[in-house]
Amino acid sequence: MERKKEKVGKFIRVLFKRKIVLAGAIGIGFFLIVAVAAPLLAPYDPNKVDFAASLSGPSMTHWLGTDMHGRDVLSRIMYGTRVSLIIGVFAVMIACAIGSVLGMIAGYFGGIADDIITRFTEAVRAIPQVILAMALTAVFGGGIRNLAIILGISNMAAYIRMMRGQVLSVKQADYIMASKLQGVSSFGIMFRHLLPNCLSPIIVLMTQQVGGTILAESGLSFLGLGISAPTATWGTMVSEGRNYLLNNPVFSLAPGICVALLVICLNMFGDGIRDALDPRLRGEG
Amino acid sequence: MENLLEIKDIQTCFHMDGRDVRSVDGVSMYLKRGEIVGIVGESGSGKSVTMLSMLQLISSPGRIVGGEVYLEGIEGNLLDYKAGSEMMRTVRGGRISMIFQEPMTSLNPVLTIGYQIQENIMLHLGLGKEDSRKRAVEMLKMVNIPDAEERFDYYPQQFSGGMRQRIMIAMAMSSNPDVLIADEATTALDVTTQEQLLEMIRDVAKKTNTAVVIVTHNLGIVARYAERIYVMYSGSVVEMSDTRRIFHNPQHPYTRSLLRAIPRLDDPKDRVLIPINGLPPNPAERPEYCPFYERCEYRMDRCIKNGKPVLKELEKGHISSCCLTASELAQKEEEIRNKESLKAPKKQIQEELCLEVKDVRKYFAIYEGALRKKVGDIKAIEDISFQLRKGETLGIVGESGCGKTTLARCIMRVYQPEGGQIIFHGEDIASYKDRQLKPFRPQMSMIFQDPFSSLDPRQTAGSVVGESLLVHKLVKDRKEYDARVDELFRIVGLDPALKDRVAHEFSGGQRQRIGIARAISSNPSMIICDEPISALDVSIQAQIINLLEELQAKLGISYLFIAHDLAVVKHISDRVLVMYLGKIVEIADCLDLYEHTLHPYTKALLSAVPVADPDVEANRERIAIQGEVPSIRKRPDGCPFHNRCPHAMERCKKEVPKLKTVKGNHQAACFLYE
Repeated sequence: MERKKEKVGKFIRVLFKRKIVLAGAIGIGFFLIVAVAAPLLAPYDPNKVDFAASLSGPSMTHWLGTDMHGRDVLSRIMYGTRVSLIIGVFAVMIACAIGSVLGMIAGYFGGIADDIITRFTEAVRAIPQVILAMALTAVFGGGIRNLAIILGISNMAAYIRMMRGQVLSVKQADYIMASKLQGVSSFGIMFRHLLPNCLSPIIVLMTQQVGGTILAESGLSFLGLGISAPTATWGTMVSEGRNYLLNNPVFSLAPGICVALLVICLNMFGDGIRDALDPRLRGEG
Repeated sequence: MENLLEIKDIQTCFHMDGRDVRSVDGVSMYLKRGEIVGIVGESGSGKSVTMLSMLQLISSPGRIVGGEVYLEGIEGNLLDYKAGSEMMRTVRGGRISMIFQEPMTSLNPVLTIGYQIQENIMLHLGLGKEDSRKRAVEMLKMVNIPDAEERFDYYPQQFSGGMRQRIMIAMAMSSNPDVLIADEATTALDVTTQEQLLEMIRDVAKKTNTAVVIVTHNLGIVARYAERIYVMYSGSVVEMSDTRRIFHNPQHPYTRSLLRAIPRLDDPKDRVLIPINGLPPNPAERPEYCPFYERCEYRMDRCIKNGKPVLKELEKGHISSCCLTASELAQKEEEIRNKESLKAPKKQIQEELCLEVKDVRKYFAIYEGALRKKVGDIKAIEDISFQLRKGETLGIVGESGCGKTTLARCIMRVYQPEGGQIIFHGEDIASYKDRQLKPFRPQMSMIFQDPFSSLDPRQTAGSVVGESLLVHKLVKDRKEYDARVDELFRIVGLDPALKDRVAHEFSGGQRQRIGIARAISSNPSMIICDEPISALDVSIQAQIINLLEELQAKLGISYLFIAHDLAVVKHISDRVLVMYLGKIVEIADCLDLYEHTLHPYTKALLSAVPVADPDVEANRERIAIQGEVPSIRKRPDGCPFHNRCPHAMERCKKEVPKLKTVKGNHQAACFLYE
């Protein structure tokens, strides 16, 4: 038990040794706090309409101005953080969990399993992701939960392919053979030896896809297929604000900057995790 | 200047982790016209970096920080010219040519070999297109490429590794260089090919009066081919002399210890290898005093106080860097000899069989076309039969592609053989399914060649060693598990405190010890060692060989010892099996095989192995062998060896010889003995 604690401590020490990783972590922490504490932090009710003040620029009363219905942009961004983070994180987790396992099965066993999974992946990839997601939302309906699942499924192909490729190269190594010869089961080899050694690029892909998924969510919401009004999401705000760039540019820019910042923070943190997980890059930390 | 090339006090640093690591620490050398010089040293001793520094081929984070290089006919210090200057470019490839280790990557795969040689000639000799083509063909003929004219337009992948290395030599020699540097040029090749190539390099060099520098870790090669030898250790030259004196009167303790540590082909069977303890120092932590001090058996307190020893001339043409005087060394030598009571561990071979292999065959299907239609078979191994007794070591030798590894994998049942029986402890496991094999897994294990890819980089050393204890439930609880892992670490000579480290924190030799600990963890009765020492440094090899022998004596394990190094096989094996193109050509008791060799292939193989002793080398009978090992897809009809065999008869081309007992335990597959 103590050894485990020591290991985790070492991992965290190594992880935050680089300043940039720390910066990423602080950024992510900031967005998380905003998302959780939105009702406490937000100055206004995000859905309170005030037509008299519609499309006003930044001021002391409305720090980031108001939208076309006079709703406070800052409050809407704060509430939007919740939706964006939930969908982004859950969609990627679903995609990664299912995709990695399928990819690992395809790569490790080969043969018919590989053929079926690879053909399936190719079929999914042949359809543009947004169109696939649109079709699925049209059938199953929108809402946060459905959207997370649907975006997860439409992202899955990337994980299958990446995991399969990784497994194909890692399984050549002698240590996989050594475990096989000791009688370790396929399950044991896959989860104890292959998975940890294939994880680095998967983690990087995950951090990148959180951003992409947030954007995809906004696209769907914009088309009226995702989250329906008046729930605030960053995506819908960017697309709504697009029409009023001249009246209040902050309305559209601010949520856009939030997406960009979150994605950058995730990437920096993701790189850090990858390096800290890899004993060869870890150094003597 | 009396010498062709002079290097003076060259120093190269690599900037790593915020500090300068001096990997070449003041090396001086000279080279005379037409001379063949050997540079020997372990990996990390700075031998390649010295050569690259001389040519200013060091790239960031490396930096040449001092020294001088003089080449005949060029005014001033070569290092004063910029790395990319006109002068350096004419020197590189023009005056000084270099061949590298990896023949598979040193030729550009999208250009024909002819073009690549031609390009070099046009650049350095300034010949026109026609003339340069003519010269390129001449060069190809010189390195014995058959049908040179026709093959001019071939691409590199149409040649075997040995052929490619010949082409590299042709290219290197095409610009009429004064110096040819062969940096481990034959390390990746088979012994018979290695011999052909080095013979050729020597002939070509003597014909054209080119000086050759052979950079290698193999003492046998320098004993056979070099005239003068530099021994390097930890970034410095520790000894230099002519070949005879290096081998017969070595002065530096490192050279002496090295010669005691390596097995030789002409050794008596019971010779004990004296390993050099410890590891070469990490260049980043090299001490101020003699870098060999920690491992030196001759050391005295004085060595640590005197600073880094300088090279002293002991007699004309023999220099060495040791703090001790000749008489002190002699006295210590006497002490060491008296101390050397280390006996070869006694092994007990029982009559009972551990493994019996009968007529095992393994074919790999060849598929072609989009529909993956089966068009034929590669007959990787055929008609393999042998027996292994309990506690015995059976050496398996042969060149690459002869099926050694396929055989090992069939026995370990990674592959399902197409036919035959594998009887392990009285049970035929050849056709068992994975589940049926599970009870056998703990009883047989394997040690791998590459200590870097055989350990999971994400697992701690302790969990690598303990994995099969958990899989087969060989321990009752956590406490017993910990105790057993600690015990295994101690058995292989590692500190159990290291068990929480991950693989990359260990050196190659230590990793191999972890691999051995893993192999013995489940108390196996048989271990297949697949080239277990060939990736290790010479001074570490003896440690591992001794460890394996000791374990066998203690635990009564049977070994199948696969290797291409015939000297090591002779040292460790009780019986030896020789394979050629998927077939057994000879099996015999170890001494019988080496002293009364029957099969022409075995004879050729033995004669190709250089012995680390120039006098023995000079008097040995040499059997030249033609050609290279053919691809297994094109195995010749009849005896597979007939097209390279000096004794081939009409009959050999038609009939396949069967393995027959010639005398006692000695079996050979050759018509000469029928």
